[in-house]
Amino acid sequence: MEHHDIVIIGGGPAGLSTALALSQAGVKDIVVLEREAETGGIPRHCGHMGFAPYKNFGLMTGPNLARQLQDQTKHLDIRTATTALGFTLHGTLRVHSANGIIEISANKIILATGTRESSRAARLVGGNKLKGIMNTGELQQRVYLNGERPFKRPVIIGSEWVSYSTLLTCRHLQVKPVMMLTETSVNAAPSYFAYGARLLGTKVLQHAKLIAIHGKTTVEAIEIEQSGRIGMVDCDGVILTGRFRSEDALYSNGYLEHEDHAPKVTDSFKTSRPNIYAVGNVLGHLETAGRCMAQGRDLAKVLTP
Amino acid sequence: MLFPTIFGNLAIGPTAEETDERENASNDTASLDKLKATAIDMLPALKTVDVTAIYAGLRPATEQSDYIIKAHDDDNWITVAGIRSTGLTSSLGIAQHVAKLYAKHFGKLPKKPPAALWTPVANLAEHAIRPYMKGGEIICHCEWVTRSEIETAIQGPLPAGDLGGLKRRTRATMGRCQGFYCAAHVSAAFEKAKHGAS
Repeated sequence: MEHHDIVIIGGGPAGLSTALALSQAGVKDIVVLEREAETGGIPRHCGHMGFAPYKNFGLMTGPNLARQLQDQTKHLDIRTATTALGFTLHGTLRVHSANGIIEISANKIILATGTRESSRAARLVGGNKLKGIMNTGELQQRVYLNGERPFKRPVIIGSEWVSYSTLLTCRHLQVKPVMMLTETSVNAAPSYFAYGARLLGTKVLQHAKLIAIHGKTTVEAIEIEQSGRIGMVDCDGVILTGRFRSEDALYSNGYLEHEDHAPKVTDSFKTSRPNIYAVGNVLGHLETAGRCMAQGRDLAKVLTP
Repeated sequence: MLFPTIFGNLAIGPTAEETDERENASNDTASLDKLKATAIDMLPALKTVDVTAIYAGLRPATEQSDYIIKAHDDDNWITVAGIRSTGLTSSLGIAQHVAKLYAKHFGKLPKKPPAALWTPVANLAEHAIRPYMKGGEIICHCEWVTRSEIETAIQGPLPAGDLGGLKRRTRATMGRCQGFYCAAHVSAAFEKAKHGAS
């Protein structure tokens, strides 16, 4: 069986910066497992500015930050198109690779599997199954990786940071969203973003709930509720943003103790198992790429005192 | 009813509601909330588990609750209709009954029926070998669907015609992320496979 000092699952900002910092601290035997064809994680398809490696926000685009990370980690043992399928009962990893399924053991395993937005099903939004309903993640990949233009008059659901990232993606597409709709008053992101949205010509509707999505083959309208009143809004797409969920496939079966959709960790990133750590957005709070990278460097310090 | 599926998920449902709608299958939001609450009542640990997928379908029905199975001598016709949710259970029995009706009204059935068109359907569950286990390139990470499975789905006499068909054949994008990570890649792989096949 393959054995390594450190195995990192996930080659996004958190995983790569952990690997880089560990290697700079002199750790030799590090392997990064990345299920996608390339590393870089979610910033690869956030084609707008706002990214920075050493602080929360900066003037880099997501793909530029991803490329910088890829360049800095070129010399490391990074296995792309390689999926960690799960833990075995004796604490090793079952790993899918181009050669079939192999088992890998490690002195320390680091979960850096990141996060995703809640789906339409998880939000229990009724109505029809239609083309044109997607998360920001899917939209940005369709736009920035495939060059698609999935709709012309979408509605954006949510008012978290990512909702404004969606707004910028729409602007890149030269698409003007019909409105942004949020269940609370403008929440996770600062309120000046809402002014920004209005400046870009998008109405922001607060304290409104998406009830259902209607149409025949593509989206034709959404049904919303505001202060007990039901109304319909014409649109041709629905972008469901935010409500991030930790990518939990490796621990949700109870292998690691978890609560509120995230593994329980100590201040030093230790999970409920002694040789397993978790870092970055898998911890359940959505952080910027810069913050995830800082966490990776902190974890490397914990592991190389 | 709360039951495990062969894909390792738990399913809750179904409900049955009368509708005049003939084409449009739609999920009622209030019913979804009720179903989730019922599931949590039965198994409280589900409270912190997200719903992966929701779906609705239309069942054909007639004005009566019983099946309508009847031979019409003058029209060379056998009606088999109004088969409600017991259709799968009763399908073999119905087939035997229809064969008897045919023999009685229209003469002997041919001994050897014409060869059926078979569309190969890949194994989608974990109890048997799936392509990813042999090292295939995984495109959908939640359901571990490989590029070769997408290519296979558009071959044969009844190929998947669109992304909806592809999803039903392969389960691509049908897992917990519902396409957040993979939908764009699945679309691209589907288009590429179609070009390769044509």
